[in-house]
Amino acid sequence: MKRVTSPKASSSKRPRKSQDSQKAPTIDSVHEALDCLESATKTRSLPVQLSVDLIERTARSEGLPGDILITLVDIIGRRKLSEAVCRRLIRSLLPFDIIPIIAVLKTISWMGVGNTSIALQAELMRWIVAVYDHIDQKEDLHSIYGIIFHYLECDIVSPFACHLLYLLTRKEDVLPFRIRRVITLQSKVGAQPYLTGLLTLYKTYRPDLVVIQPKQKQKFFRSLGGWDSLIKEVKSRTLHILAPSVPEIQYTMAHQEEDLVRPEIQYQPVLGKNGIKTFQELQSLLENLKPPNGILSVLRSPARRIILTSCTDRTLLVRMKFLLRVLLFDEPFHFAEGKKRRGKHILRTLTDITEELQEGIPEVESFLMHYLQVWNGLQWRSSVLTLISRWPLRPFVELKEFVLKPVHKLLCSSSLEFQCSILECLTQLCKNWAVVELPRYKQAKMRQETNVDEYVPVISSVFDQEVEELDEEECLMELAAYIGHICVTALMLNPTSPPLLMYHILRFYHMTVDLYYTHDTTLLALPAAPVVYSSLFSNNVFCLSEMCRLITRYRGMIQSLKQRTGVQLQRHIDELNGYILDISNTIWRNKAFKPESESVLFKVPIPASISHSIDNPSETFLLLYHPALTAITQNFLKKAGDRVQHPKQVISDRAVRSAYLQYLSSHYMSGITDFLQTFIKMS
Amino acid sequence: MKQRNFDSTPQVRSEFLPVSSRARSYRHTPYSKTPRVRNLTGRAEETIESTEQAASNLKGLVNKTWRIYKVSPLFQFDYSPSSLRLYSRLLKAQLEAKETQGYGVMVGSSNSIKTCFSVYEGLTSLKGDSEAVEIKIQVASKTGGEKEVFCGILCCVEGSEDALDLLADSKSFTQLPVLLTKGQVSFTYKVLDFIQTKFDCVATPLVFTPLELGWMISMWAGILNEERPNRSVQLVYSVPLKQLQSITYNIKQESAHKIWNCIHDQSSDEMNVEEVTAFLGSLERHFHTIFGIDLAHLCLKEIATPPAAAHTSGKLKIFSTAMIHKILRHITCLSQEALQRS
Repeated sequence: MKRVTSPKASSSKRPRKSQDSQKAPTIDSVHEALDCLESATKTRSLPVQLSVDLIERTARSEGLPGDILITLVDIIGRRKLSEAVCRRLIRSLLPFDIIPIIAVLKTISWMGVGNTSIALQAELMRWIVAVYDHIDQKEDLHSIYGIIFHYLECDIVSPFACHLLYLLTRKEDVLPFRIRRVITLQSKVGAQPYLTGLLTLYKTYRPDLVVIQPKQKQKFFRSLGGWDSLIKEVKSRTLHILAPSVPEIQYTMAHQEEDLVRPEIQYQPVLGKNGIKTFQELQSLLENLKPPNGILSVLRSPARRIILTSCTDRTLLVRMKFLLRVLLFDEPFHFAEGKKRRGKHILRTLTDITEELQEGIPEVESFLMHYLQVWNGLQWRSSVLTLISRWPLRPFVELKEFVLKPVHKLLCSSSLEFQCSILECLTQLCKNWAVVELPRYKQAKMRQETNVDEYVPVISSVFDQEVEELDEEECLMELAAYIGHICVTALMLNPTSPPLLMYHILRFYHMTVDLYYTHDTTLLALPAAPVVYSSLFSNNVFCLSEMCRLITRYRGMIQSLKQRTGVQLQRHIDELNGYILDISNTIWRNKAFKPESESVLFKVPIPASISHSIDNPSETFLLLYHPALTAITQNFLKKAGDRVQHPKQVISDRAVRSAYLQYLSSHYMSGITDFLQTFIKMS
Repeated sequence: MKQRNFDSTPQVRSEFLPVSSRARSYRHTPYSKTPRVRNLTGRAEETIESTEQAASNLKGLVNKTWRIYKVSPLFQFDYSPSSLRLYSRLLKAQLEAKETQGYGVMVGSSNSIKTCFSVYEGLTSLKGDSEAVEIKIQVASKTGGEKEVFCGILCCVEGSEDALDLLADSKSFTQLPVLLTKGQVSFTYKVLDFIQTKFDCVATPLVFTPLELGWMISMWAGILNEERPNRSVQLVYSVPLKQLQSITYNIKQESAHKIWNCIHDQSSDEMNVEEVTAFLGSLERHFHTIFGIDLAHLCLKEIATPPAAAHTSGKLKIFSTAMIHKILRHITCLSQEALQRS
């Protein structure tokens, strides 16, 4: 008989190594410990105790490799050791990476031999459930489904057997005789949650064979007695060696958490046995996807919503239509006070669907038409605004009448934040029309005109609707003009032109230029005079700089458009020139407030009172003295020190000027420098 | 006296729209409209020969109070006897499972509840209509016999085919927009739940607005019921007062008949909104002259006419077998309009 060198025994001889081994016993020593256990006759002997200690420690620290697990299962199964030792050994069955299927199969067969007590059998079954995600070939485990099923009869093992069956069950396993046996068992032991859980799964697969109504929010299975945390701990230690672990699985029924209309849903899983490995496989599966029976279950789950876009079954949309009609129109009380949670839930789901489909749902569109007439601007604001921003391309009169006008009304009586969110929403709407709806409309129209079924549009609508006749470009222009109009209203409501508002207004105009450069969509919407005016005389340096940048970008856009034929630009060019002249006059040329023929801003004569109270008003907004730039100019002059005798040198002295412009650029005001470099001849 | 607008909701909006968009379907307006004209005779192409079964079925419909639900098209409903048997087995199992929460119930196992899905003859008068379906639930009573606790009839009488623009293949859908129910409320809810889950449809109560009740009373008040000559025409108005909760207004069958004949053009198959306004206006004017109460400002909540009575909450009682088709045709029409409204 081999003598087992326990860590303690070896410590006297080789102190250095023993310290290592105490921290992490080597695999060899574990093998030796196993040999000791295999040949042990007495449980209470010291070597056995030491070996068990060693194995336990190794398992807890880094898990055990597959072959050791198999040997351990054999040792437990032979049951030569006492029950307490076996329990400890079972607790040590923690995998290093995976559990070989043979270990699990051996466990089940040892359980059947009769050596092991019922309590140990239960413990073993619980172990299998706990390590289920780490078993390597589950197919083999599935082939002994029938044998595991027999353990339902045993009261103590039954909860864990049920749990294991729940994990293993596939549609073909659900057979009448099994259902009958579980039901008979229920009549003996009562409606135990684990049996209910198993039957619920059976019902999901075969609603035509069994019906069950689980209690609300019932937890089906018992906790795994600390196994999960043990495995997690070991896995976290071996994580650096192995791939990340399998995500946790929730066993309670997901649909019970949030309930839209009714609690029960049937669905038919279609995925293959081993999951999906390649993208092609996924693609072919999506084509063959069998949609669930209940449309509600499709709408409720983000994963199943993909079916809406990929499935060719048009009946889904019809069912969705009727469901939404009832949800949105037939139950208006959901949108009344006191039913907020439900209304919020419905709207949030619809917002999600709209965003996923990237297009508005017709029923939601009609709902919004009704709802916006009575909307107070507060309830479900973010959802409503998101839904508005996905409004489909329709004649502009319609949009104006039913969406923009109610929103405009609200804008006039609301806070600055709300005004900004409205602007943000409309900017999104405009962008959405230009980027998504316009190409979609053109393609749909082409398809309708050519009447060729094979013509597959790149951006197609999920909802098969007739294409209306409308001038899509004109609609977009009108929308942009209306948003410009709203911008001016917002500025009038906030005479101080707060930076937050200016930021959103400028964002809209920058977006129109972005459309040209990124999506090749021309949307000429020059800012209205009040917008330019407010930015130019603003106290905020950001507004001034961004406006200059915007004008510079517009110039680039119009110049590149000029090279194309057929675009009517003269009006825009005149307007833009006026702005350029006014801005240059104000910030550089010392000619502000002098009405010229091209000027847009200074056509209105300044009241005499102002021109008398301020000396030389045209100087006030020169770049040097501009209220927005005072601090920066002062800093610049301080830094320059003696090199600049008089501030006016910034304009007259070339070297100082370029230093000043560079200074501005380095302080994130490249908008101003770009503008000057583009439009002013720096001699 | 103030004239009520029976033409439903405001129409001001249309004048803002250009002609092109006004011409389009009302999907694009935020207001739905009740039709201005309704057909009185229906479009029965042929009289379906009535069997004995049909006659007894129709007799079973009268003199009972039905609660009405509107049902969106049923998905994958099958009329074959085997499917109907399966539906009744499933319904039975579901009822049992709801009773014994947490216990599984094998489909087809015998128990105390009896359920039956069957085709209900005698209600269909048009070829395009789906056959009516009857759902019955019986439980064993304490005295030993069987007691009917629920009876529901899914039907469609002269439903308009284009009313529900079924874009997809219409073979998967069966249109049975009206569900008449009678019996214990708990069973009604369970059956509704079953229909909704099994056939993926939506079933919600059909309520009659005062406007719709106004149309109904004009439509039916002028019809004499030979089976029940003593039945008068009745209008019940709700009053927002604690002491006086409602006003009941009774008119003799013959008087109502005379008034309607004066207003309605007998040669026409249709009735229109002006006639409805005139009929109700004349009744209300009479009441105003005598009692000084302007009924036009109160809510009409219940009506009773010789052939049928209806309540605003969606209850209906039919008194005349001869009128069943006409009445259910109107209810089908209302249900389809309500489902289409959006």
